[in-house]
Amino acid sequence: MILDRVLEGRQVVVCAGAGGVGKTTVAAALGSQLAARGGRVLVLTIDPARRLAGALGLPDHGDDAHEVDLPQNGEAADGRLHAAMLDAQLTFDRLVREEAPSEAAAERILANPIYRQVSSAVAGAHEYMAMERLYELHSSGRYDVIVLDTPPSRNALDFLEAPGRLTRFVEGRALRFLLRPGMRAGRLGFSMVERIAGVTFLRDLSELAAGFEGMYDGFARRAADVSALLASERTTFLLVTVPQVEPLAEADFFWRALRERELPFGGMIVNKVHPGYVEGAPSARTRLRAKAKRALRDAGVPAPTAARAAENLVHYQALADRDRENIVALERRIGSGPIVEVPLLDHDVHDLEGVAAVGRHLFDQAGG
Amino acid sequence: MSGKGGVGKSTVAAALGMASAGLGRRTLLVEVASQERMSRLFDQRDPIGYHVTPVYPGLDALSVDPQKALEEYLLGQVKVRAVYERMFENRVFGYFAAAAPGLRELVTLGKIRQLLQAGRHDVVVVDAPATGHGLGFLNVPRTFARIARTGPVHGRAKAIAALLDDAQRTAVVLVTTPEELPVGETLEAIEELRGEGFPLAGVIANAVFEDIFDAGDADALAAVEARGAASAAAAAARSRLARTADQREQLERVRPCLAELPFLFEARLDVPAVATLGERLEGL
Repeated sequence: MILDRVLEGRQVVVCAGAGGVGKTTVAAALGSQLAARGGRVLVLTIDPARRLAGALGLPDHGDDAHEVDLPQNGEAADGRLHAAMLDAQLTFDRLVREEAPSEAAAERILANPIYRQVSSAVAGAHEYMAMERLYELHSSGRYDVIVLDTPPSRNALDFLEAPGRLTRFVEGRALRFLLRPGMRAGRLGFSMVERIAGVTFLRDLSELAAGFEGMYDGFARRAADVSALLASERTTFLLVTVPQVEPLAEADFFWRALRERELPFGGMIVNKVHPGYVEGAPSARTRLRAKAKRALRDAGVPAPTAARAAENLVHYQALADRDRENIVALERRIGSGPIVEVPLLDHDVHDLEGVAAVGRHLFDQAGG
Repeated sequence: MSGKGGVGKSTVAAALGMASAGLGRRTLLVEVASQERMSRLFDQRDPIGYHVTPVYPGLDALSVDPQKALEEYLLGQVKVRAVYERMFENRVFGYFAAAAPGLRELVTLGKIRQLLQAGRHDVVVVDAPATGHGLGFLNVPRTFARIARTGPVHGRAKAIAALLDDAQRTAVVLVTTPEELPVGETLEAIEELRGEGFPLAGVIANAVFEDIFDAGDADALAAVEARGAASAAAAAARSRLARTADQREQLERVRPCLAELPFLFEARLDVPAVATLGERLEGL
């Protein structure tokens, strides 16, 4: 319910958060629910776990969109869920082909050894290629909503600053100095880089710079467009976390970063919340063990079993109490921002059935 | 040490560091992304930062700031501070640093190698980036040795790659939890590490639920229909039984493990709690 309101009219839903919190699962669950409501939905995943990728019908290679066979897709005949995986290398190659002034120029860049290094799986490449792919898919007009799973950044800012970095990367004012070694600043920079990296590296870099000449405007325009899209009302950011201290601290950090950049925050999704077993304040827990043990004995459970089960209840309830405490603290920190909880399910989520269960929990909540 | 995000890699790295120190090896624990998890784990009043800081008897910690490691490396190369300062202000150089995105990883690994060579520590435990990122991290020196075909970067990258390739000096340890997706990612990483020829030591399974119930318990608890505390305890027991059964299945996919560490119900992962995990790692 709360998510229906948050997602109303959005064309881009960005799921962000620390690694291991279930971002891909949540993105897939959002996508399947939105499709069940009758839209053309695409989930763009970044480096999904193989099992989950398989469940979404994604092949090992390539970045084409594939339709997902939803378990109960009968309700809305026109709703369709597609999934695609980001391939940073393919995206960058396409971008170069599109923006290069000629085919020969594109081929020169694609064959450059430094380009191969920059565009493959090195830190940062995933972030800005996720943005580029989002831009590409959004401008295709094929989807009503794109749900974007984000790379597990070591730093949330890497992701938010990706379009700017892409622009700076190809903006090339400094690059042009490299191309004119006659200039004083150019000569100095040239000799410095040469001393550190060696002459072949420098030659490759100069050739790459020459290749990018004439492409700056195209790159900059796309980066500006995607930044504008993310900042607009067409987009919402959902922060996915689990109710433990470290991932919550990262979610907090991301939330502040969104505010500082005036990007549209939709809500927090707290995944894998340990369910509670007894009511009342945690202060009343001291007698829980004895009480449970007595009740189990009364129900005919043998004493050793009752003792173990009572001990386990105390442990499980402690996990639930701690999660509750962390979520209450989160509510205090982020104020009115909606928080949606997904309970820890008894079995790991790695198939469409599990994804559907998470989806039901996401949308069944009135929200806090 | 690497592993999927969220499996407790930093905690296990800290536990391994404590175990190593407990055996009398002078141990250094290194985190690479300036996240300052170690300063929180070891209750440090201030961030550890880019200083070798004692955190536990026999154990030092360091949080590598790649920017500082890069500056330090360049200062060592250029020697004259004035030249080096001009270099940092130079935009061409700035472009070079941006165009070589693995450079930060390279200088981080270089710093680790340099610390080992300094001889103050017998063992360095590196809390590396998560798998995916982590294997890219290990590959950076090789890639650099390839693209910078000559010059100082080439030589340095080659020396770091040689250290990482050497099974006598380096051991890659993967941490996982016994769950479907982390175990799947671990198996993929094992395949990749073997393919690339990195010295894989094995897997540590973390957060393993102890099997406290037997089949008899399950039957006795299944019959409980009472309300209140008895049904709550039975429900919690059923949840645990389901989880331990799933975990057992997942553990089979990665066994034999170097170690299996128990799930900790403690309210806070403090030094004594991590030390109990460390005790389980002393045989490694």
